[in-house]
Amino acid sequence: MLNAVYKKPFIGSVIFHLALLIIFCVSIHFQSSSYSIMATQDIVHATVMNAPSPAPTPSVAPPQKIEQKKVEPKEVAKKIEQKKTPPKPVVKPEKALKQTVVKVDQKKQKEIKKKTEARLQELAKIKKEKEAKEKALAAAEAARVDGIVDKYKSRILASIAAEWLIPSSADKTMSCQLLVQLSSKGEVLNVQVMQSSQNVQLDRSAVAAVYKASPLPVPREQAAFEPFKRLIITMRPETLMG
Amino acid sequence: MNFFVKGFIASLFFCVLSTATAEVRLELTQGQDARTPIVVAPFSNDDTSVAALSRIISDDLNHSGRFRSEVSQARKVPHVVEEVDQSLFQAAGYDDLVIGQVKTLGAGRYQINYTLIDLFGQGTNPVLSTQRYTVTRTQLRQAAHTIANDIYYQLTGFKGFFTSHLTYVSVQKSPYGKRYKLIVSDYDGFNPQTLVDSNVPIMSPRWSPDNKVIAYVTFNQKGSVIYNVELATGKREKIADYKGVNGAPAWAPDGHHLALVLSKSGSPNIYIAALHPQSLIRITDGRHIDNEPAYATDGRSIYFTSNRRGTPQIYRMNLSGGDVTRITEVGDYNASVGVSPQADQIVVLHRLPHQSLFSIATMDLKTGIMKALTSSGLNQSPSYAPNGQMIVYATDQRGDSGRLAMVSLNGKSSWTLPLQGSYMQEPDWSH
Repeated sequence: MLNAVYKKPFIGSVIFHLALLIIFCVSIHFQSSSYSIMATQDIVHATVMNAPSPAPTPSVAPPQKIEQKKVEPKEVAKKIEQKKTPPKPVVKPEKALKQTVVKVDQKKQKEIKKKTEARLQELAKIKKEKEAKEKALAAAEAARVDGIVDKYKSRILASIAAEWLIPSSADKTMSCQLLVQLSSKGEVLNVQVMQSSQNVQLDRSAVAAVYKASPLPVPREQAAFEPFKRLIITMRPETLMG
Repeated sequence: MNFFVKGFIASLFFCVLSTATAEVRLELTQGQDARTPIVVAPFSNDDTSVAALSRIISDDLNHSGRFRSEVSQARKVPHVVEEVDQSLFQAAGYDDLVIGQVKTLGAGRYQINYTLIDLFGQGTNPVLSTQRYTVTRTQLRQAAHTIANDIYYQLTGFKGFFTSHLTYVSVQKSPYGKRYKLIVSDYDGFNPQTLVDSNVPIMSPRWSPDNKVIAYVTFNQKGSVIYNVELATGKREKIADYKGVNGAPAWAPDGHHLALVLSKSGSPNIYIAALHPQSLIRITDGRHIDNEPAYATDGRSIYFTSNRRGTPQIYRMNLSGGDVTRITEVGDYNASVGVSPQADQIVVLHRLPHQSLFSIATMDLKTGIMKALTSSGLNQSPSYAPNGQMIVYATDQRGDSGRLAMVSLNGKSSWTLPLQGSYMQEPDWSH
């Protein structure tokens, strides 16, 4: 019983908060739309409830209203309880009035709730569309960046190949893997043998080739350079040139 | 765009970067078959006899066909590791640096400190090798070759051959007729020592596997005869003195047998002579000419030249079964076979049809592919370096000037030994 009485204003308050949160989030975008009307409706409804208590001022800012509203249900409930224990006929119409007020309140709340839900759905839809758009945009951007990355991959390979003096003790079955650290200008800062070919001369020739090819051609655009920060090169002497 | 959208894009970018393209993986399968650039800084010493050290080292490296070596001409060069500015030499285009110091100890003795530096070396230790030698004045040249050996080994993975030797025949004309000398020299022709001096021809000198004895052919009143001569003592031992041809000795890897060509029973055939005690087995027969045997690296078979199917070609006989396989197929003349110490290829004197001159060519024993290392000319007697990476041969570019020349298997080095004053022929490289 007590809970039931509590519930309605509480839901009201939750919705109100939610609404406020949404307003806050998308403030600029929805400033002048129906959302603000909803808020004023809420305020109107609050004033109705406030009828017995000191006269409300419609110009008061919403946050203050919330506080008032929060206190209010308790007072109302107390009043209801007090009036229940001593059954007085004079009280009855008052109670009825209160109930009708509550009923009207309920209806209005339902309406608001519906409107809010619709609004939320609309928002979700907009958000989804935006997401899809951004995804497509990002995919196109990623493809563009990939294109640049690929172009520089082959440029890097060519410049290292020109410097790689393959030792005669190495053969096609051998390979070593290097981890190369580059500056944003392509200067080789460090070369580390991640996996040795088990042939010292081959490992050494590979490391020297990378250093000698410094600075390596790298993209100037930050997004395209990003992956080159971790450059892993496998070197396998399959073809001898010159 | 409001804050919401911006945040969303930022998070999306982060996702893309942290998963799909956080790194770049490349695979390089092409490189250069080129010589490694290396610089030798002259070793510090005020003694002029030491000045040649860095030049000898640099020349050795250039001879190998693996390096493009230079002696630094800079006014100030480093002598110890602490003085080396790697980036300076890197910028000059070198991969490796050789530095050293020579201390004069007195009594004609020197202490040589040498260091090989990898200019692109990893981390704090770019030193690949550092050695110390104490030598006399006459050993300085040998010390330089020893240093070159170490550099070559460190940088190529193959044993160096700069301390190895050659033997060859030198012919000098004089008013009293020709003089023939059996000579032993350093690999680069320096320090020639006469082992045998004769007024009759000397031919086919061959180093024993332990490099202590040389087998050769000469003549006496009856005809050709095969001798062994000991390097240390000059002591000679007669190996074959049969009727007819006695020629083309070839050492077995065990050092206790020699393959020979004898014609004591008709046409020239291949025999195996055991030493101490001496005995003889014939391994080929027939009316064809079988000549110039060479043992396979494992000693289990013998390569030789035969005209059994018309033109001279290389055949191989299995010593346990006696079966004979033809090896060379390309060209109408292949002879003077030498077997690589790695056993993967042979070298021959090679001539294509309708040509009159010969090139030095190698043949890969697996693929059968022949590769000419020299242009055709009056070339002769190819012999592998002990590490199998070079070949020495005799050449006569003008028809009257026999010279010794070397060519690297990669074809990047080809040079003629600076020996003059006589006609040189039939070189054999020590083991």
